[in-house]
Amino acid sequence: MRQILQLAAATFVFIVLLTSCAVEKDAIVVVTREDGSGTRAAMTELMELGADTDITPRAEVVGSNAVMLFSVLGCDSAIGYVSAGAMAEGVKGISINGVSPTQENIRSGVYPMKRNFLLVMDDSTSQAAQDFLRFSRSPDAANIINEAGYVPPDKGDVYTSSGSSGKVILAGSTSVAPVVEALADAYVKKNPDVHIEVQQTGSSAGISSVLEGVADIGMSSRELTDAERGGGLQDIVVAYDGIAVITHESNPVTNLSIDQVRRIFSGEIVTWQTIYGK
Amino acid sequence: MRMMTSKLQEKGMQAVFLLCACFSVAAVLLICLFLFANGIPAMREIGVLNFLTGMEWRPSKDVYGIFPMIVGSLYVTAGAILVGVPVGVLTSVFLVKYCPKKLYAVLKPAIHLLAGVPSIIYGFFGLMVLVPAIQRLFGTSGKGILTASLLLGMMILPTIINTSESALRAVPTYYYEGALALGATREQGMMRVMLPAAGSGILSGIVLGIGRAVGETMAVVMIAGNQAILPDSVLSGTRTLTANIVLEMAYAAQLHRGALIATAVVLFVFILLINLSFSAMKRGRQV
Repeated sequence: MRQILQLAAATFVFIVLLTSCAVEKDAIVVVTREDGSGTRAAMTELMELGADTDITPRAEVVGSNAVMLFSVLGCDSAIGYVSAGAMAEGVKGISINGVSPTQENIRSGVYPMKRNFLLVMDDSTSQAAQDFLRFSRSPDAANIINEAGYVPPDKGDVYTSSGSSGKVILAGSTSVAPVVEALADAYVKKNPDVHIEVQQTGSSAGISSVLEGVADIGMSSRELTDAERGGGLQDIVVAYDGIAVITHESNPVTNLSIDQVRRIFSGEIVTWQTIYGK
Repeated sequence: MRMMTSKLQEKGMQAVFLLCACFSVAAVLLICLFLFANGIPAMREIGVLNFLTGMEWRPSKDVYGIFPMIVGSLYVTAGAILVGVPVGVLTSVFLVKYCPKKLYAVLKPAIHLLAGVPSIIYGFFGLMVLVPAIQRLFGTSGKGILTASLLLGMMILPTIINTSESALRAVPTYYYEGALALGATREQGMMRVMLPAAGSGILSGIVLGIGRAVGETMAVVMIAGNQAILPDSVLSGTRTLTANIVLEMAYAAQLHRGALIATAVVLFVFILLINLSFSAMKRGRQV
């Protein structure tokens, strides 16, 4: 019995020693979203990662904005990215080229990592869905979008209820959904006969459910592909969003150039020392 | 007349029972059919060898290789066995031979409760407790094979403890008494006589545990890091077959979707092999 215990203890110590020297001090822990995520697609596009480079396969992969925030919150050497409207306490939005990811900077276009939140529809959109789309361009809607932490597009006409009724199904991006849910709440107050359902399925799934006729309106946080446009889809911008590069609060880095961001996420820069050194 | 109706009733109920029994068989058959009908064409399009041995998983460029995920699943499962089996088997020894009655009344329900905890809660526990602990201990991100192994080891404990305990209890007491009569100490009687005698029962418990560890999804996704690369140490992150499916299923279309279903086929074959070896072991024990 004693021998077994001694053996177990020795193995444990051995494993600990073995693994602790394999760890590089000061390593950057890159956290990314999963392949297919609209946020990830926008991030790669904005970093101009191009066709032959991609986000490093050594990056940790998380499945949602929430887990992304949690991962960066819990690890002081982590770097990740989220929708700027989804920023939370405890993580720090890094300035890109000296510009911080605030709503003002995204609106004015100074912040370089800006993307569109799209609503996608085809020709067969129902009357109620069209009415909702009209509402989403109104000044009232703009205020709601602003309050939710995103940037509304140029204001359209004032919305007056046309008394439509029916059911509207919106499906798609988990990033766009909070904006649309806020809009839907306000819309239903004005049009009690309309029932709105918001399904969070991801950008690509949302777009294909419009094509399949399962949803009336798709929500996308990435641009439509040529194939999707060819399928007869149109889109309107419902809001602008920035992509915020985030680190732990305690990280001394406050600013990165877009080139540095690119080299961190492609795995070229692997230690924070490389950044402090400059 | 009464005879007739009661006979009819009996026949009717028999049909109901048969229907119920058929239901689970039909479910398995349908799952099989769905998996293979969707997965095999995708596998063929990618190339079976490319798919199984490919080192790169890059859906955006239509490159689908799941070898890192197969290795990831194997590593994490092996780790879970390393953690769970010694603790589980020794616990069952304690429960059978050394445990005072009062303590047993607490321990046994606790173990049952452990089995009933939903896996997402295990995942949360891992994310809030294990990940920061590993992070502080080793200075990595905290997510990886070691963390996943520890958590999965914990999750398979109830399976292993319960099967080992019943296997140990099934060993006739005269084995133990005989060992003592021949001059063995209590420990020798337990470890050298009782344990080997219960060996095949314990082994089947381990196999069931492996099945659970291979199939676990939600908890693993939260704490494994999910990098689709070959891990180079027990601290580096890894992606299991199950994690691969759940991470990307919502977004996948066309060949990507097919590749994920093909991943499920591979997982299904894994589980099938584990179950076959389990029933083979059971049969071996009965002979």
